[in-house]
Amino acid sequence: MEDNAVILNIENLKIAFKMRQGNVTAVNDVSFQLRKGHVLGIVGESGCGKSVTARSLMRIEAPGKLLSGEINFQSKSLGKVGIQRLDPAGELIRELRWKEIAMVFQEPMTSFGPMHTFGNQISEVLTLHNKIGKTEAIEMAVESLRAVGMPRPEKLIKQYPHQISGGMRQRAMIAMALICHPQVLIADEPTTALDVSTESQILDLLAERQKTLGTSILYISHNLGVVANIADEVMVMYLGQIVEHAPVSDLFASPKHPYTVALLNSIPNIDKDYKNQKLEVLQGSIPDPYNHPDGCPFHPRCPKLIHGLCDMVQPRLLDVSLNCRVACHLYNASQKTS
Amino acid sequence: MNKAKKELLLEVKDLCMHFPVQGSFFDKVRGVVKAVDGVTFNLFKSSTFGLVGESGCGKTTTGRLIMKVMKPTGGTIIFHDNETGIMEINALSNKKMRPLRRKIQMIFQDPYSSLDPRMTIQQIVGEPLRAAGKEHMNNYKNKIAAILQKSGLSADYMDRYPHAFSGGQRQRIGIARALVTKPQLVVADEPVSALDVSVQAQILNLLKELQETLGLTYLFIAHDLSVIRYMCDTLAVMYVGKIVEMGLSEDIFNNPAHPYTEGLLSIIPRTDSKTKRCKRLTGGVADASNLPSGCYFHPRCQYAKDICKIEQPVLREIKNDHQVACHFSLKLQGI
Repeated sequence: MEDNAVILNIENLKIAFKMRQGNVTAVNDVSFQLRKGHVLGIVGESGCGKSVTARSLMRIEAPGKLLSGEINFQSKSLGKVGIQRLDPAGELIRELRWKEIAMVFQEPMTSFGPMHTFGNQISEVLTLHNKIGKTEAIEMAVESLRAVGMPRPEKLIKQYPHQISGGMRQRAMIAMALICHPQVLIADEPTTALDVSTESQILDLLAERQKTLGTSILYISHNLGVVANIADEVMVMYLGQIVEHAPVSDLFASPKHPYTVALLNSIPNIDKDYKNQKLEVLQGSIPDPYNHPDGCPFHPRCPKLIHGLCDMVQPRLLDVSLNCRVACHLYNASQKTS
Repeated sequence: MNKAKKELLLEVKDLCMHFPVQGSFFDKVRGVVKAVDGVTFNLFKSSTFGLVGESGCGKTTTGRLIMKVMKPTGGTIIFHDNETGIMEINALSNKKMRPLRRKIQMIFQDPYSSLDPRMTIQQIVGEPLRAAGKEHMNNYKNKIAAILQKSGLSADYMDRYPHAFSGGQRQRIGIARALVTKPQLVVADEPVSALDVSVQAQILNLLKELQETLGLTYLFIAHDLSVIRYMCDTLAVMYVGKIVEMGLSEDIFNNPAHPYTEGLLSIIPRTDSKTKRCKRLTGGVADASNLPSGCYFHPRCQYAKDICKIEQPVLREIKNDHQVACHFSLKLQGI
């Protein structure tokens, strides 16, 4: 496949959760593309729909319900697949899971089964997807563990998850996710539970594996610094919608959407002396999911609110410059006049 | 801050907490884990002292020892109280400790598990007052309403239960509970690490405002260096139970003298694309039950020489108010 080819094309994705108090739309009209060999970062605060979006790509969005939209995946073995049409428990999606789309979960403590050795768990992926025997699979598991810098992998495959540290477990998780050389790796906050020094090692490892294997990564995080380091392009989500999508250098150098600006301002800068200065704070909190605001979802907290427009009309995600998309009336208006 | 104005509030001297490691069922104690090992620092009134380090470095244990949640295995904690005079906390009996408890309060990390779901906000925030004794119970409701308002919550929330509040609001309730008895020292153990970025900034600013208006002293425990830099006047970097560097916040961040501090600062992912992560901190935190010889940090240290494997460096002053435990700290600073 040529470089930069689109392998995942998501269009107008809508996912809702059915709750006692009513339906909650967790992902609302989300469209984006993932290109071969690219790292796409998704950032946003809790409840913005970043994890659900990623999970729907493997069809593990339950108990959420995929209401509409398309997830077109360029599979190696099956050709072009519309993942949204697949049965979440069916044969076809299971063919894709882990073999072509794999995932690294947030909690290295709970994402491995406690009752099986690493050798068993990692080799199971291989024996399920390839016609190989157990011994061969174990050998390959050892190799993949060695590739993620695990010391003494021969010993590790006989060990159980509780016997090793969180950082090591997350390494094993990455080894397991990459063992079938998937085209897409979904990393859902893989370093959030880890210490800074372990985090930087895991980030280096992911970047290195991504370069050698040419994997595309969908990297989800609430930590803007981490995303700035690993991603090629970044999407910022708020209340189930993409508010800004731009190449990493543009997003952090000249953020456009007021939410992105506020988010960047609200992290203390480690290279700055604060003395008696205060942080610029985004007022209010994320709205209750049952009372979705009218118009722009961000308008109740927005410092640049235009009355009569932002609280009435929902802005569309439009291109403001090359590869930059913003959903904000400030930019949509200027685009119309120019 | 002017040195003459500094008024001592808490002295921690040579604090140790060694947890026994149990062997198998019939074995006796097999060894000790030195969670906190010879930690010494001073807290000054109306300032913020930060404790920072990776998990397992003993920062939380230090905070808990000051709260007297557990008894230290060694060392002294001296509290300078303007009413009762100088008190040695670690030597006090639980009964004698009671009147002091309202003066040292704690803010917890997880706003979801630190509030009892079956108590109303009034009961939660009022509990320290009830525990402090009858003389603190006058104006009970007014005191609670006032502290809720100071913490940025409406006094109308008093009869609601914690489930009705968001994470940020819950943390405000936790802050109100800590401050209702007008404490002098507040131990804040990772108060913002469970919160979203925008809420985190609100809580940090609230803590700073409350410090200004109420003259609070914070012992601020966190793993996030940027939060520590924003909040703290002075700080100590801990590694496996020991302080490796201590000094004014600006000195440590601008001129880190210990290789561990330097490593930690260099690997923080920054949003500024010009300053990429450069130097690496390889390996993992040393195992506290099986410590390396000499300097605990030497297996990960890029400057390590032979002496680091043999001799453990002591914390010494390299300039005013800046202490480092490293054999080569002066060379690192280029002095």
